[in-house]
Amino acid sequence: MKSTDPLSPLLLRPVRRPLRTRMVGAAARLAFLAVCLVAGWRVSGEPVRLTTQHVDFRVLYAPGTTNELFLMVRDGDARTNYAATNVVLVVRPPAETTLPEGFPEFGQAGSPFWILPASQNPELLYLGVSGEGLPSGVFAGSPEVQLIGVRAPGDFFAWRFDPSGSLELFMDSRNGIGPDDRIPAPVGGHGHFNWGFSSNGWFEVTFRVVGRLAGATTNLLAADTPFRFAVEPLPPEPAAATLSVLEAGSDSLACRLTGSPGVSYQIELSSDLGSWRKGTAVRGAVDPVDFTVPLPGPGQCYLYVRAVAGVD
Amino acid sequence: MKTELPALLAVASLVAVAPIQAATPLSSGHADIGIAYEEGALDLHVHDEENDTEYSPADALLVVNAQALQFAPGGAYAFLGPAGTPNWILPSSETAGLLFLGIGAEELDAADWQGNLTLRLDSVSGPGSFYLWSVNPFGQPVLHMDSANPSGAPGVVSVSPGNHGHYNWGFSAPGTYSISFEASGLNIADGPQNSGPVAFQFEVVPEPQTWALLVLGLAGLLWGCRSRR
Repeated sequence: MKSTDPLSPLLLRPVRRPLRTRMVGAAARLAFLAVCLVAGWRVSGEPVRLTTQHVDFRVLYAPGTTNELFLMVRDGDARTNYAATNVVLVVRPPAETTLPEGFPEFGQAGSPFWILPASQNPELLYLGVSGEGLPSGVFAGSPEVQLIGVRAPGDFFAWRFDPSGSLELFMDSRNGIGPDDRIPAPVGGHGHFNWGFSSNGWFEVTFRVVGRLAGATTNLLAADTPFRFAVEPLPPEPAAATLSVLEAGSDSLACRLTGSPGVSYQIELSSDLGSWRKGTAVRGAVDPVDFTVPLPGPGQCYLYVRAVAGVD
Repeated sequence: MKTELPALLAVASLVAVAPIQAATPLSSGHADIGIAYEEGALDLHVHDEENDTEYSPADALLVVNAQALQFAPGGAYAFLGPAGTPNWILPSSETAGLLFLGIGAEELDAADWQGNLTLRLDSVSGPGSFYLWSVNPFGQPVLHMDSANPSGAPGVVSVSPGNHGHYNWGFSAPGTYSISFEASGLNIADGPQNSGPVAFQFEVVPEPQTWALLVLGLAGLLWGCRSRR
């Protein structure tokens, strides 16, 4: 699995995702912004760090909008709703513990493990799932928050113990992500869960809300909504790399990379800033590294460099 | 006088076993024992979250339905009695048909208070014992209050201003309980605050079979009255 940190800073370009995803993401963000402005919710340019508040993933229903179902983050203390892109859910260092024996689903006993517990710890985020904003009599059963994807240096879990003391795993990315990975958002109610992370670092967890209106034969789907967890302590980010062109030949460029020792860098090339292809891979060293980049053909050529793996 | 005594006994029995009629029963949905601060004093009340209604503790009856019955598993749950001991439990996760009871201070603003407030168990009066616990992320119970063995638990829970939390509430016998809690905290402007003990009413409803026996017994008493006249 690539250990690229999708949020690491880059010198020549910001983080790039495939064009289609960017367009879908932009459309979703515009939709969220529109809903936020209409409803009078706070929209901020700087992501808000939520650290110890009582916070819910809140399912909302807005009939007549494109998806009709939305998933936002509600800060119960400040009574404010946030779009996913406007928050970072912080898992503070007191969340770190050691996996005991008897929980093979989570990993090997003795491994470090980060937990936001289902019962409130004033030093940690108290995170739940809420359908309190949903109208009664509209849905068949409860909408569900489904786990769609996890981009992270570790595994992601959500679980509870039922009244008889048995482990109930609602989400588990370690055993693969599928229809079993879901949390119900009870209409008019909310629930709290234990949330687990098998590593520190940035976790991007994507949820999709699915619900069915009473009497309908098809489901409503919310847009896939990625949420960011910062599981602390965050690993140090690789220092920004510098790429310079020493000499431009007719079919190649003589380049110099100044980067962090031991970090692998991938050079990518494009003629139109739209489609990119991989070029040379270079390893950072204490001194600048000189290397040659073959040009794909005549005409303009854009280059950028990004770190693709951490330090060995 | 002799003929009237059985009738009096029947009425007394009905009053003793019937639920308290004056108080509003809350037996399902989400409710909180709430801590507010009004006119310079801490005020404890019951908040019915379903209907957004507030009750003074004497006006609400927190009902633990018969389906709350569970049998103690033993082991880490030894505080509930040996394995197999019946207890009536309101779980900390929302369960259809049972009261989803929390403890909260949502009306308080964290900016007005130094740290968290404390809710302390002051006394329990009832046919059995009262337990309050959470479950840690690895399934182990964390006992907060235990009226059968007060030194075995801290006897308090911490309440964050502006927040609420959910717990497991356990009762070892059916019947009516009066449980007194005391809230305290440090108000930044007004200094240390203490609510004094405030009594909350709980009703643990026994199994239907028990009710049937009670009704039959009363019917027998009343029939006995008639025959003598």
